[in-house]
Amino acid sequence: MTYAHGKHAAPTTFLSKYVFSYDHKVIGKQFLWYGIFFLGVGGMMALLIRWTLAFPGEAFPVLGPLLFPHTNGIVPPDTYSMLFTLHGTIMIFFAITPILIGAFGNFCIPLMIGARDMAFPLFNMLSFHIAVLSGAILLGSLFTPLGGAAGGWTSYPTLSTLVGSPGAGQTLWCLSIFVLGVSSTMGAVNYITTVICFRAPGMGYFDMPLTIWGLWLTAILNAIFLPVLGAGVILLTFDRVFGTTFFLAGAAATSGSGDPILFQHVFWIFGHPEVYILILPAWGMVSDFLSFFARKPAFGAKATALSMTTITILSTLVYGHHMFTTQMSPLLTQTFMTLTMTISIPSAILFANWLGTLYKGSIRFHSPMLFSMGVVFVFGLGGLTGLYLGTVSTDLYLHDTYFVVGHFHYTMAASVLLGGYAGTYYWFPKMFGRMMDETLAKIHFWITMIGLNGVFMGMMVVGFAGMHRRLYNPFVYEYLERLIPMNKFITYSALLMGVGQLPFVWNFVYSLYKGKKATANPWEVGTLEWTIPSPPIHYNFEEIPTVKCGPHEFGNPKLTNGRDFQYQTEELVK
Amino acid sequence: MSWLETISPPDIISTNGHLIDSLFLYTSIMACLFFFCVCFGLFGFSWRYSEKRNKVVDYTYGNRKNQLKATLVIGLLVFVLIDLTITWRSNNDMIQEFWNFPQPGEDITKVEVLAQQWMWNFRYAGADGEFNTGDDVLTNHDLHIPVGKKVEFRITSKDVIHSLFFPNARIKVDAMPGRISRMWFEPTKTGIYDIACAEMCGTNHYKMQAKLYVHTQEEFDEWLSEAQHLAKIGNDTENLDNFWGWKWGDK
Amino acid sequence: MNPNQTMKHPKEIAFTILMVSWVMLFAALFLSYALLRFKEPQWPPMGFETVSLFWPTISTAQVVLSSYTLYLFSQNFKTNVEKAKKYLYSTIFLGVGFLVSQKMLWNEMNSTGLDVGSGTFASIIQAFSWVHAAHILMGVIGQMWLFSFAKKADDVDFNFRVLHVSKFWHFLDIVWLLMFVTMFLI
Repeated sequence: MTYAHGKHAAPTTFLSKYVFSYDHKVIGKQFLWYGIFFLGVGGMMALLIRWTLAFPGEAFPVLGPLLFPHTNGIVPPDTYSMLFTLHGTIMIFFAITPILIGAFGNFCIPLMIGARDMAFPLFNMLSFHIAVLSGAILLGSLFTPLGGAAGGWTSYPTLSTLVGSPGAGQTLWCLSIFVLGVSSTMGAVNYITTVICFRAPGMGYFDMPLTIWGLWLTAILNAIFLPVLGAGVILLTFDRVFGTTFFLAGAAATSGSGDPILFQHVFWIFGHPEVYILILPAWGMVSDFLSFFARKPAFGAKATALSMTTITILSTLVYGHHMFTTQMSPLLTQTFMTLTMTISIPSAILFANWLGTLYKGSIRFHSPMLFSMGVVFVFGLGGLTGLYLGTVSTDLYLHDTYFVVGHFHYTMAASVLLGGYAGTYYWFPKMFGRMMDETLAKIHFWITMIGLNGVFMGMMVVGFAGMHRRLYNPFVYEYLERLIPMNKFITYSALLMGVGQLPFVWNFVYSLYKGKKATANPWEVGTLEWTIPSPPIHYNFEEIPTVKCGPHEFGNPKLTNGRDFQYQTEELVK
Repeated sequence: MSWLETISPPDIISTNGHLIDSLFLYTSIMACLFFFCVCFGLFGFSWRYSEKRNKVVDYTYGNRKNQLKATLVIGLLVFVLIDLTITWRSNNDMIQEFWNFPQPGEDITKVEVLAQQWMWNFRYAGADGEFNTGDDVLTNHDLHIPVGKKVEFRITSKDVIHSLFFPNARIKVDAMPGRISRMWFEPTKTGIYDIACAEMCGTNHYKMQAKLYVHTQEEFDEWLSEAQHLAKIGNDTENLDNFWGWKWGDK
Repeated sequence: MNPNQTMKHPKEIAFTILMVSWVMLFAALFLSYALLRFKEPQWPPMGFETVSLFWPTISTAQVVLSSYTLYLFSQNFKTNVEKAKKYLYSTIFLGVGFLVSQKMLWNEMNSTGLDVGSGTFASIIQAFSWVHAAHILMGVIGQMWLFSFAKKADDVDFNFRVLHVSKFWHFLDIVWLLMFVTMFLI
């Protein structure tokens, strides 16, 4: 395995360069295309859902008659269930995971820690192709006779057993998730090992950029908890395929019943850490970008790293807050509520440090900075709405309403999306050797922010008003009829948000070919990836750098060479 | 309906539903305070410390003793003043109200609920006062209860997980196959209200509604005695005017 | 950390992480077993008899012995090729034997009314042992990967391979012992 760690020769054939590449930079890009594709699919599903909610009974424009000819273009109820199930599944496992963890993790980790590649390049390549296999299985499930999984992305039994979901779609969903879990676990092993073993000489853990902290902690959570999801999904598959009775109960359990709530426990033991898995890379990136673009050290960087670690640990103890309405014992319920609340402490420290970084800085409003500030804003809103849901009594009302949907979209979709865009604008020059256009980026930012807040704040409003989730036509209920205008507003905001991504897509594609050529360090930042050309040579570093200072050395008044920052390879000017 | 009314939660018809709204308001105030501070920092610092306005930065790592103390204090203050107060209030509400089920022997309205795809079934004890006997009153879709008296529901599901949701009482509990869950409230207003299913249960989850009829005690007694009478007759195999079943016949 | 001499370290760390993942998989299965069992007022549930200990005991003997022979292999592969060959083949033979015993166990359960459809008692025993058996199969394939030991005894990477295949096998052995005690004995 010395291949990737010496100055190996560049691959020559098309297949070895672009398809079966061992190069972490190529694998990162592969994950990026893969994730963007599914982001589009998931987004399209969201629009279909929003259309149905705002205009029930009306055909979806253009695509409707093509997709649903037997209902004249109106989304049918069983398809609607498939849409929200797959929207959730795709966005979590096939969009966010590949982009934030697969793409940025693979691309950034070796470059930022001064390594030539990941610890196990072959393993890395396999993890990508296994992820592709899982995506193929999921898309394949849509073409089975009874269609794709339709029991929600949480696939609670007994709805997800043969009782509620006959047909191969749900089974293929389980298989797809299992295969993806294998891929992500392989990736996690690679990331953790690379960060532990391949940091450049002189780079202690607290000299790593916070981006790496985020990606590293995410990988640790993935390695520990994906197997738990794997176990749950295996047991569900056994129920569906081999006739075991783990989750069967009620009239369907003709003999010896199992416990559907067991699945919820197993699922959420994974599921809660999973939501932190999704946000940690974005937190890390935002913590770095705020410092880089305020031209000042990250305030309390060590405390931020330790807060992220604390949240990582606490996240394993709070899963029961997803199950308050299943009537666990009062003691257990109270324990989960109190533990959930403790997460506020490290979260508040993160905010304090982010604001402390901005305070008395000299802020440059380039696109990565705008998006990072956007993350602070939306994560503030999203995190705070978690308070209502972690509180048992308010959760009795808000559980399974749109308030929950608004909460997790603010924290997962909005924060992670904005963080992902920040990372994309920031590392595009390093990945492709060209700059993206800043004007289009700013337009993208503002439209996205307006649209996104309209959608998700609107959802919290209708949620508090009592609109519950996963409804094909909410207005069957009298008490929800008054929410039609608000639902229309949410849909228009979603359309605006969708339209707002077009400048990004145009900008991205155009800049790939015609963007202004990037210098080695267009953002004037001192982390190791900016000490090498854009894009880097295939083995990254001509010489493995020696690290002599931290990643946030900005604004040191003693600097004399006309720069306001230091590269990590430079001795700290005292 | 004013705009504010269109987005407000439905009227509260239970004795303790207001606790939820009140805690929601309290949490919102706390959250707004915190969020205001965040926005003050975010927007304020963006304006005041933009590159144009501020050329010289404060070169600090933010890890001096007093800075670390300040950060920790902020975290702990948020936890104690916001999280713990909310937790304390909620815990009280749960113990004193929502988990404070009626005692056995108390005079309450008792209803057994069976959720199924895609309908709510309600069962009342028949004239004999016992559940699960041949004269039980069975309804689906329409739930009748008297005002001013506690009602306790014991709930299960026949097939998949559903959730019995009374928006006007601000509570829900899951209906799970193989388990019996419980819920209670005391209605304070007569009228007709919506009951919803709040857990994804299949294609027609959106249509799984029921109606709650809160009657005055007299109206309810009238309805119940009529229903019990009909239930008894309906199941009485001797009463040939009303009973209409027959043996299938193949042998 | 000098990256030029890290070939040893990364494999150890990676293997440790993989072991954590596998521990979590089996822990989740044990947790499920515990939750299902303690929900029932009695175990085995009404109407079911405990599983005969014949095949489980044979399986236990096979897997424990195979761990020992694999250990002996790892002690001998550099110094005594003949002995090491015997030990490696014995390990594989016992591993395959374990799989056969498991199949006999499942057959016996199915024919005595303890098929998985009969309830959680049979479901957990069979399903859990299917998952374990699948990993035993992976372990046996891993052992076959050691066939070239005579030529590679001094290779650093190969030594790691031996170490990790062994550790994985011993792990599965321990998991089986826990299963044996919790699912068959008590």
